[in-house]
Amino acid sequence: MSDMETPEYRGRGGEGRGPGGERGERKDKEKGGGKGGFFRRRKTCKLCSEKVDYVDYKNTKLLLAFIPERAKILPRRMFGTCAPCQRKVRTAILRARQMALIPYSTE
Amino acid sequence: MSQRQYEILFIAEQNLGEPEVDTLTSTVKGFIEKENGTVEKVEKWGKKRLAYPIGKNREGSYVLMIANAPGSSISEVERRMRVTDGILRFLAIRIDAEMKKADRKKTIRGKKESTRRASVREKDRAYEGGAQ
Repeated sequence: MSDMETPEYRGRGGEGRGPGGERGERKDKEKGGGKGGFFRRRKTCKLCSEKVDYVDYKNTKLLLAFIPERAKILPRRMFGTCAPCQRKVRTAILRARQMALIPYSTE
Repeated sequence: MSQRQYEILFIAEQNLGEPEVDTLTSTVKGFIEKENGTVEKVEKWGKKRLAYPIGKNREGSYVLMIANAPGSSISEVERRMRVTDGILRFLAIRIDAEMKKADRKKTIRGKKESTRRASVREKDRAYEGGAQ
């Protein structure tokens, strides 16, 4: 995936960095290569950090935090939830929608 | 037969009063008990506004049940609920596996926390011992 970018990135003065550390560091610093080029903070999974073990579809307060105005489920990149958590949230939202606890869409 | 824990939530139509909802609840309870299941808990949420209208209903009475029943029986319970008048919508989900997972996570976390705390305590003790 990053095969295309790596040489160019290394050329920008990242000597002696391991292949693993490179990606992490890059996220903290500004994005190189002229793509994006703005500061981007690394998002962390809200559910993991708050230690929510079971995402309940009845807990609308929690689910509404993941639903913007249009009531659509947003992709993972918007919230930074980890894959297992996003899956849990998704199923919970679908269930809550079916039981009319959460709207499918707003006008 | 192994019993599994299910969570059944159903919405009763808005024109039903409280006594009618109660009878509906007991009929659903009857469905479960007929299939060798037991109802552990019944929780009435009362009349709530629906997030969107279902048919002509803008409101509905929610009833939540937690039941232990064999896995093969739940489809029959669902079928009966589907043909029962007055139930707008229902959702029956199995929760025992999820709960077990959550509990396991919790205990693992608790252990980690306690060991961390213990190690911190030990360090504190060592530090105090050194200071004295």
